[in-house]
Amino acid sequence: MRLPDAIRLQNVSCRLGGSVVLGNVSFSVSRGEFTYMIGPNGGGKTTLLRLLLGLEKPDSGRISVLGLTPPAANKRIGYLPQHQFFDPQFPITALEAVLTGLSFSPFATGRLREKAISALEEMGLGDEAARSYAVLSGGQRQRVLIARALVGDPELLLLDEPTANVDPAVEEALFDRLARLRRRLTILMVTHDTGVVPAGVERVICVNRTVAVHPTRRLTGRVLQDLYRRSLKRVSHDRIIGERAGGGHG
Amino acid sequence: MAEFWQAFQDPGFPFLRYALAAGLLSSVAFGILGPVIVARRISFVAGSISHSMLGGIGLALFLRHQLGWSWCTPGAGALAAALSSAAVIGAVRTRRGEREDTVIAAVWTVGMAAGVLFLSLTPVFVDPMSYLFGNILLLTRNDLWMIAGLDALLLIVVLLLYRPLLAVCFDEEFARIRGLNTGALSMLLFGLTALTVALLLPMVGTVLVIALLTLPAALAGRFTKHLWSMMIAAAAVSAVFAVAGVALSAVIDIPSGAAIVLLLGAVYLIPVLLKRRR
Repeated sequence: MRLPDAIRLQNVSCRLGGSVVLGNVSFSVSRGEFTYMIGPNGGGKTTLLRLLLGLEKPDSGRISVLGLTPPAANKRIGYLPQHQFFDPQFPITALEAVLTGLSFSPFATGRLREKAISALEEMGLGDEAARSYAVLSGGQRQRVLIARALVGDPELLLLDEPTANVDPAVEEALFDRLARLRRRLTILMVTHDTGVVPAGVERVICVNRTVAVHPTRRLTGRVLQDLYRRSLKRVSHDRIIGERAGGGHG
Repeated sequence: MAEFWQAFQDPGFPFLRYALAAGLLSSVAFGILGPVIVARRISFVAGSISHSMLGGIGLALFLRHQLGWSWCTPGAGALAAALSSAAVIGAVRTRRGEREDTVIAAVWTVGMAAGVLFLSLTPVFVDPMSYLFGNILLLTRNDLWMIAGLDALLLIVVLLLYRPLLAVCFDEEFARIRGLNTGALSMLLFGLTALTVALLLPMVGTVLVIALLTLPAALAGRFTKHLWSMMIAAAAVSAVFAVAGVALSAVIDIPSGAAIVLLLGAVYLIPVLLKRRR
């Protein structure tokens, strides 16, 4: 039996504060797909993620996530929110932060702790588990939050600007890890970065109140110019992280 | 200092022993709740709930003296006002489009204005200073039992709900996505804050209680990396400053609550000011 799509939106419209943020949006993401979502600020990317998580309600249309209506599927979703919402002075260790993605039981059993440490190790932070979240670098904090998103073995990973505030080396390492993860889960990644699309991304969803979905190789500079309504200096695609960069246009 | 110890040991003057016991007992409450308030960045919510109690106190005194409702005590009025304010702020937080900081300011100032109004209408003179700043030296054995009960309640809550509280304080939206009832947890936190400021009203009043909820926690946060260790450190800091403040007030004859807060404020603020000048 064929599993339902990981994400399916049918004629979804959403207004916030009296303005139309998304109008009559329809698209779907298949299981196991690695999809990018790009678009200008205020175009509705984050609202779309919030709709998928049930944090916002659509005014019309139907949303299905892993075959369920949001927020019913939330425990099967890993979510990375935008980094700037966090208090860097908060008294919590990297391990405790990851555990918040796993259990709220009064006592973290050894099994849960091992799982959280394993998620940190997967992000290259095994030695930082006991360190305060506050003293980690911006890139390390971002990876802690990705470990938190992954620790519950989600079927769908929603990432909101995971490469914001991280340097290029961390970004490459992150893309490398995501490329490996896509073998076992569906990934939808919101990004402001139109310059780098890592290997493995099959389609790019362009969001600016409406949605257009393009296969990665057909995302031309003209498409981006229409989306952002301004000229972009350089756009290169199909860059294979860890290997030589591929083709480009812009 | 010798006079202090003499007075402390004098069986005819229990107030100093009660004051020290209250300082130590309340340290547990300040130690548990303070770090949650500081980490969650809701000090102004606590301030609003605390200051709004003056409205309840004023109304209770007015009803007591004007209508002869002897059961209507200032403590009951303070508790009712604090819980009502917590409910209002908690309800508004969940509504989109409301400016939370404006609502907090409105609850704060309306509560104080109502207090001033009702106190002026009360047919007997009431000095508002005792409610604004409290007096740790006037506490009774009953007050101590109440604070001990509050400590027990807060300990039970934090033992059972430590991880949900940590998750909500760290990232409320993520906790909600993970299935936690964050609205109920926030309401519980505001309710516990209301209960704490109301029960500690006779000790430090509506104004100083905010300093004791936030400053020990903020000091503890400088050298701890877990919320639980911040709680233990905040309780220890609070206890040390309570004892030091009561001793200082006895030696140089100044109000105890003010002495505790001034000592805490100095130790917290001086490094902050020195750091900024570098």
